[in-house]
Amino acid sequence: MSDIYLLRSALRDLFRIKKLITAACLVGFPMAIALLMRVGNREDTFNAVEAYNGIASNMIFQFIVVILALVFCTSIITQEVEQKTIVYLLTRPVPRWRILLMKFIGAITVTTITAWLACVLLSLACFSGSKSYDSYVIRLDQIKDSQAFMTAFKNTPDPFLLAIYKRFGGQQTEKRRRRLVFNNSDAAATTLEAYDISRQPTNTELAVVVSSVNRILRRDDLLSDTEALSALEDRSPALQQQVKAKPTGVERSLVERNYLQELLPDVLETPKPIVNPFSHDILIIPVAVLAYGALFLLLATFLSKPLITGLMFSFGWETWVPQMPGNFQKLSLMSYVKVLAPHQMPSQGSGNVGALVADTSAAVITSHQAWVTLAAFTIIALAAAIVLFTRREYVPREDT
Amino acid sequence: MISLVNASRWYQQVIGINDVTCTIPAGMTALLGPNGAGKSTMLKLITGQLRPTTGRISVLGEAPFANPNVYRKLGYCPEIENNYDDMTGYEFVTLMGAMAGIPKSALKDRVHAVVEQVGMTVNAGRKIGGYSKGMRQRIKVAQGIIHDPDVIVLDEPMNGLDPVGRRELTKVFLDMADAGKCVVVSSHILYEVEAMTSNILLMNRGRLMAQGNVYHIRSLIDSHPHRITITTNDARRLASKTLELPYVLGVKFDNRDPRLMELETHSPHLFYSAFPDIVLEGGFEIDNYESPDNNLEAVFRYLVNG
Repeated sequence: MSDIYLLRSALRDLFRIKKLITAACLVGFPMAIALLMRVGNREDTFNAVEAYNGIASNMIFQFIVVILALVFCTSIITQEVEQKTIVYLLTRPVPRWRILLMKFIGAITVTTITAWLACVLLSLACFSGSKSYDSYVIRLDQIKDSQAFMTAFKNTPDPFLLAIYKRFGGQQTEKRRRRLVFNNSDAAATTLEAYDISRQPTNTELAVVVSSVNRILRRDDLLSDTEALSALEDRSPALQQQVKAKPTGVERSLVERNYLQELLPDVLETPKPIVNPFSHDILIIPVAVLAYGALFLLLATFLSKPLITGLMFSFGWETWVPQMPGNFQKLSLMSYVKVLAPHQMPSQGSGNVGALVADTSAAVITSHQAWVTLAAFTIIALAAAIVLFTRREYVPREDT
Repeated sequence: MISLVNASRWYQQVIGINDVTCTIPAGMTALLGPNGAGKSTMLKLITGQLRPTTGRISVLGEAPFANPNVYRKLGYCPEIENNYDDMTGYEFVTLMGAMAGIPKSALKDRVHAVVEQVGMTVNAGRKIGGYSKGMRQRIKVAQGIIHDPDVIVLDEPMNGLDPVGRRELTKVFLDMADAGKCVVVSSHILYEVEAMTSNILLMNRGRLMAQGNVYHIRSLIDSHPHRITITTNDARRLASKTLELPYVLGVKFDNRDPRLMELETHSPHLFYSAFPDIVLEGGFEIDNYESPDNNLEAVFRYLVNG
């Protein structure tokens, strides 16, 4: 009975106008970015899934969820202490843990709903009336036989591979960023030249070539290169049909990748189709909110200014620690959240040697580990918060 | 109903209360002392917001800190002016009543009854943010008594109230005390307390200076000199007459007003019975005589400064 009233008053407090306006701005922000991206891209180069993934990961999970959990969950205690009204709650025959838990549930609910709303708006902005494409990008872990991959480009009789190889030299580089692109492509040509086909290529050698291939797939229209297509008759009817459809944009890149796939069936793994992560995100948002919320609640039970510490943690620790080498990412909550709510952005960094190598060397957290870690963390943080809240004195001192 | 045994509480170097031992029975008790005397600290200890650094405190037989059993029977009206400004008075008292465990079926009637008791029926529908100081006090009292507690602790409940409000709330408190409840009211203003009770706890600088009926305290200090000021037409002659009495210790004159004299005696009752005869015999005109010591303020000043 008292719980319902507590929860209701906590919710009412969170839905105050000032907080609502801030929340509304935050909620609309990812959607606005997505709309801008749609305006900025041609229709055939806007990949809805990839845009959604990029914004959902960076804005919703790493920003909105974290900042709302921080603001709402710390205000449970700090606001009552600052306006001194906490005394009314603590001198009631309701155990302190119930007071804290009810307010926590209120804060978690509001945070989750707000993040959900942002997610729904973003998915509307991304997916309505636009297409999602699978990834044409080659990743290092998709290459089953790296020696054969390098050899195929080095000693190729196939005109399609040859056309790609020729472009390594940088003949048809973009006018923009010419120097950079040329140098990289040149590096691929040099690497291939220096490569001895009797040995395994190093990861770096492989990445140099793959990054150039990825860039050519994205940029170059091999499908209107008659020389490259001179052996098209020998290919499967399905592929012939795809090529003749003269696709543009991302679809063109995908057909080019299919062509490669057919040429190197034992070398390249067929890419997994990208699934729309929206429904999965909706499930994981409350999990992330709970973990972060419990942490920030704990901070608020013993710090007088938990907001500053929380901000430093969220945008200092959580940003830098996962980027440190080795197993450091296991010390960041966001690493676990990202495992549960993966957002593939294959074309981002696909032309970058470093990103490709880093991608394969990253320490892997399994989703089982992620569930266990996040659940354990949430429970421990919440229990610690409750214990501290039960024992501490929350009394303003100046009027003693 | 409340007992403190050698209870002390300090904040780092600052002492809140120092070695206080007392029991507070049912009925009305006033906790009296100047600002900073430790009254609020003592009330926060009694209401379980603070833990004593040393010593023991029990309310209705239990240690009060964060103890729901105690809070079921204890009402507290804090000193703070802050409140949930976005709530109306009704919402605030309803929430507090619900948290106090009043069942939903009885809650609405009980809230209305209490709001009426503190004279807030007209204004309880408005948001607390727009309340005057007096209204805030009244609504604070309402939340403190909503669950009909056996022990009611009120920290400076008269602050900011107009005389009418003071009288009304005093009646509320006295009614509760008459009903056998333990009512503790803190104040630094003497006449407020005098109107309510003669049973006081006197505090200064964290220490409990005196406890009990104000007249008992009075008699405690009766062996000490007692001052009486007299305004008369011939202060010098009256002084010499009164000095003949064995229990008059001394006389002082006021340089600015030759009509004014102040005498000291350790036996005021004997002096008052002898005084009319002296006046009649000597044919003095007495414009005024009063004892600045003959009220709680003097007890208070004496104990605090002495």
